[in-house]
Amino acid sequence: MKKVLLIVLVCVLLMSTLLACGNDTTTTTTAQNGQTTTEAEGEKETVTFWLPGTVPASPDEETESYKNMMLMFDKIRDDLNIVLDFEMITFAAYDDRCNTALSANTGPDILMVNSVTLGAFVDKGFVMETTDLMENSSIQKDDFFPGLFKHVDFNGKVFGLPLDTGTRALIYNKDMLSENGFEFGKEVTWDEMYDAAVASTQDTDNDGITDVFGYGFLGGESWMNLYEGIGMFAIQNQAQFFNDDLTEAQFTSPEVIEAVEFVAKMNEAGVFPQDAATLTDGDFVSDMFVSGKIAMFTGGHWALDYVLEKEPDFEVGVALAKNKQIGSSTGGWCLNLAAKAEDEIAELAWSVVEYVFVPENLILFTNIMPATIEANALAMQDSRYDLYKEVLPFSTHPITINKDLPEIAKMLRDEMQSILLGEVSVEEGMQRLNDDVNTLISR
Amino acid sequence: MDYRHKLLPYVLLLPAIIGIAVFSFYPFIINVINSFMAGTTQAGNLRFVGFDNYRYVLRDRILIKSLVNTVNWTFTVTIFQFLVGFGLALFCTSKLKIMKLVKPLYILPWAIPGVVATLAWRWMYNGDYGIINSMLFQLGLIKANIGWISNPSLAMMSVIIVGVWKGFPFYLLMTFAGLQTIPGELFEAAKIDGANQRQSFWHITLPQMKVVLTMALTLGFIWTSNYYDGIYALTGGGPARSTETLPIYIYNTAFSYYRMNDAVIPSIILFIFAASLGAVYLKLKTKGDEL
Repeated sequence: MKKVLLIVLVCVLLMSTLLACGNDTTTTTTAQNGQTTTEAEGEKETVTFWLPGTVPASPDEETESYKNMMLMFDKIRDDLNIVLDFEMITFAAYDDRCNTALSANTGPDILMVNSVTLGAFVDKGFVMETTDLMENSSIQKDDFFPGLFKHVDFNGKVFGLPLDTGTRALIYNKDMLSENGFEFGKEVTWDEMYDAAVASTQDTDNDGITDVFGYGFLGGESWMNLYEGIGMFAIQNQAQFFNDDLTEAQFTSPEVIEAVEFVAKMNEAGVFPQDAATLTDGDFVSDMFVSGKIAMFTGGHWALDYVLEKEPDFEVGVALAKNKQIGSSTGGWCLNLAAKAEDEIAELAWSVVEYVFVPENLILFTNIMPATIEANALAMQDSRYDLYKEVLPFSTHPITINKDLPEIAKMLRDEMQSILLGEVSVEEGMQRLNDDVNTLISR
Repeated sequence: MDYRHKLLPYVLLLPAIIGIAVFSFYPFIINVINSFMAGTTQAGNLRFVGFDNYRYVLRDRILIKSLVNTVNWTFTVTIFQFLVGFGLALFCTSKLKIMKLVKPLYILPWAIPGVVATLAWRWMYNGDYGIINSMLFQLGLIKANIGWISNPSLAMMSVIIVGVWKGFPFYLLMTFAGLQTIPGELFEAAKIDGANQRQSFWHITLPQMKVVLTMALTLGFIWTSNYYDGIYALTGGGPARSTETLPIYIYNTAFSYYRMNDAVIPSIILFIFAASLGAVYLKLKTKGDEL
């Protein structure tokens, strides 16, 4: 009898362990729509919607953008007469969660996908081609900024729609530049930027160590490096990292080399902070700027908002840098249908997508720049955003969206670090990168 | 009754065997199979590609670099953790009253959560505003800021320092416990025979501690070779991949680049290394039990 009880106990312990392993409580914050299913709702179709973000712990912590999003979801439920289950997953866990769920043919019907991972998700068959759905849709390609629609266009096949984006501009300390004899207009050339950065780089306490830097460069994080680092300079120099059909890397083209050499020149002049090549925290650069330790940096309108909220004791200016052209990098989120969604649900899910893209709804849903021309004109009316909106038509993703984009961005970051840290010359580094990327994309 | 008595141990082991089979063995086999495949079922292009993935991954210069970094990291950290831990364990055998206060402090690095400690070190290492540079500058030891984790030549050393600091308490505890098991009579007899402290250490302490030390080092090598979170939090594997070890390479390949099938291949390398050391550990443990 004792033996039997012992065996039963062991089996119960094992089953408990197995059940416990099934719980995912570690990395995600989820919020369900809170609806209980009534008899009437039991007749409605259910569409699940995943998006990145953090659910406020209490109503007091709800931000304006969160409230707007909830408002929009309620409108969708009422107007489309569906049950809309949304799940908000923390940014850090979002891509992994989507990857895992979609690999197992589970997960949502609609999901937000970042432009940098969309190529990989398309390649893996995770997201649905929506070319046919768009044919008779209320949303058309011409509704979007051309540079943004390219994010979802894969050789003529459309996968979802670009939801929002953000451009970047040069944010600078007007007072510091003025003290050093510089005044920027709406557009700033690289030479002007370089001279002002050099003049602003100083050892203010005469201890032999520079404590004010001319330019806050973020080279440690691959996306920051791409969007706000070398990617920006490449676009401003009309450089292209790849040929049009993405079959050949062009990191050794004269335009790319010129852009990299400019960054290297700034680095050699000592205008970057000590750890610039490995800095990953954008807020750190913004905080240094607010403290008067950095004269200028490249940032999106969210960085400008962050800086202005801190109420620095100097005047903040915004300008568009250029060498051969003004331009900015753009990234952003896309709204996609999961490939696993069956036909009937797919059509219903597309109705939800169309609803989201009604201009007044899109403004509620996204708290950065809406991707459609009409919604963009209605959003971000404050004059501080004027230059960010003005540069949007000249903006594009620094590297065309493709399945290897995350890896290529990291390889570019690593090679830029090697160059800035003096391990290799610009030509050697870009040649090595070109060879490695060509090997990768030829698989 | 006799056959039931003989069967009982296997029945009791069955849940553990099932658990290991389901959660370790089965995923491992599936992953090895996937390493010979490309594409996905969802995209409708899942196909057998033979050794293509192996050819690509094993020729990747970044893999070679990460292997070198892993060997450097594993052996340097383990050996220094051991030396510091064992040295402090010998110090802790002192009968000074202050040791009662000092001993708990030695465990502190182990007690602090890994990522928390690593982030604190990251701030200390900051090139422009970190406390380490500030202190060294004020002491007159440096005239310019040092990029502890931004200079590829120094980054691995900086990471190793954090690794040693974080892990030496394990060796301290293991060796201190081992030291307590050495019979005092051996030292007394040696003293009577005229042995000095150094001779006692070499001819009594070390031989008596042989099994404990070897087991601790074997476990240390296995754990250190797998270590990921602290290095990733401190440097992310940079700058310029100078601190990218095999676990970070595997993570990036699988979850940053979405090349799951390729990520299995370096995992197999790590598995072979850990399994070899695991076999050594088991053999030593059996030997230790016999003693």
